[in-house]
Amino acid sequence: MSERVIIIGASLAGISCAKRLLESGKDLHITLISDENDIAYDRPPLSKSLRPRQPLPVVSLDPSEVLKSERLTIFAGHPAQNIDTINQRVELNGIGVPYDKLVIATGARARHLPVFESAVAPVLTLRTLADAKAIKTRLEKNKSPRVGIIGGGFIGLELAASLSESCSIELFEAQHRLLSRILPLSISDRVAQRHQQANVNIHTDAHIVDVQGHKDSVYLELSDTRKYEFDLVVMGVGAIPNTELAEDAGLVLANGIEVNEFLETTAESIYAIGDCCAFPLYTTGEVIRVESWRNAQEQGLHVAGQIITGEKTQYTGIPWFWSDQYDLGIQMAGWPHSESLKIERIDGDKALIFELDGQHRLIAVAGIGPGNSIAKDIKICERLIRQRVSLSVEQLNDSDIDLKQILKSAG
Amino acid sequence: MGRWIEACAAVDVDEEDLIAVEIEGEDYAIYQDENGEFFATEGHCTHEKVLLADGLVMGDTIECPKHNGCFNYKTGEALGAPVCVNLKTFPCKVENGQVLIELVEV
Repeated sequence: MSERVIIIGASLAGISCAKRLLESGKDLHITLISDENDIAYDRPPLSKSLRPRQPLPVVSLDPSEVLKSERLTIFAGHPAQNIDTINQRVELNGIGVPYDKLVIATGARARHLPVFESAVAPVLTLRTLADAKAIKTRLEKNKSPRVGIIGGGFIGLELAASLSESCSIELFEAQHRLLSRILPLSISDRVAQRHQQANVNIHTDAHIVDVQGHKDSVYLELSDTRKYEFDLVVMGVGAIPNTELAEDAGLVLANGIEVNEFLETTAESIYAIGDCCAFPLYTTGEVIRVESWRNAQEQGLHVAGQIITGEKTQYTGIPWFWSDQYDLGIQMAGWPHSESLKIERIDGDKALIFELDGQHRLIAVAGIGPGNSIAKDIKICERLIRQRVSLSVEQLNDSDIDLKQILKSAG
Repeated sequence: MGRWIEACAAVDVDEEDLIAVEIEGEDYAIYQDENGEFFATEGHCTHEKVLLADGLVMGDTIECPKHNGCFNYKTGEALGAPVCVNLKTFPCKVENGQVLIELVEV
């Protein structure tokens, strides 16, 4: 009999896993379960390329239509209700679907601020294609919509950049600066300047204390008594991993569904991948949860590979992130630490910030520059992070010394 | 027979690196390997139309600057997800310090 694989979640992690399994030609049957009606679309363009009065930026994750296979059954718009780990079944729509291997790729959902919980007003989040449609519909009701964005993280900033030409935008960040949890000051300052050039008004240390909603507008009040009226407010204040299904099934959680180096959960024959899982970082063993495109894809492929071969292999991915805002590209690799030694390398309009541990080994890097101009350096750094060798601060600091030379002499 | 067109000066391309060139409105990528040999491919990644020139060359591999798709730039072979479509490659030679590519698909 074919091996039965169930994948819960049909975004990048789940789809990458399903496609790899189908392409392997192995005798298996896959059931793909999604609570969303829309499946297999790419999420990054939703915040990076959303424009009023233009087509929704829908990019398929399956352009070659691998998912049309007869060996795949899709339940879209049907949330999995329960995992029975004893009898190895997933329940949905009142039926139990048996599995030999289960892959949980439930992702994360947008966090909501408590102050907005009672609001009936047009306050939206941006995570799914349905969210993007709702935002676009709202925007198209006005010629020059007034948009309030809550949260100066990537989602909020990318949306601000996408909409800056067609909307008037106020962006509110509770922290003292933008992107404070993920990027060094010198990079977030460049980001803030670029947004100001585009007439996006950025308010830091901004705490929303009251929201008054009406049919087509929403009033925000800040702790310093300032008041604003908007046609639409979008919240981008982080994400919460979707772990409830796993928790109810008795799986161990750790800021996400806990998995080992093989991405196996604490339950027999169940893996967890992508934004919902907390896994040990290959280089340090630190348990981390990563919300990133590449992490989702690589973990999906990794679990598929193990199911295909039947052999356990360690997941060795290094976290990598990117953001596009206007003409600026931001990329990061590794996993930053607040107490790390930070070294700056400035080269014209490009900036790189290296983070070193106590032994001067590279643990993380962040870069900003026009277009993809820092991509090459970030990729080299990714290899340096993997090598875990001590580096010279002077060399890293000196933009005349080619990073590739540092990599070659380190290897 | 294709047409041989001057793409760039050989000194413009570092060893184990690449540059972007535009010829007759089309983008190409010109590579030099560690042994001083030159290669040419189409200019964009086959995944999402990103210019490869900002990517990283290591050995025979070019890694796309965006989604980390990898190709063997000497053969054009796509080396795994997210890239599944091979890069087009073009014959390439150096004459009098100029890199020439032959504009016919191989």
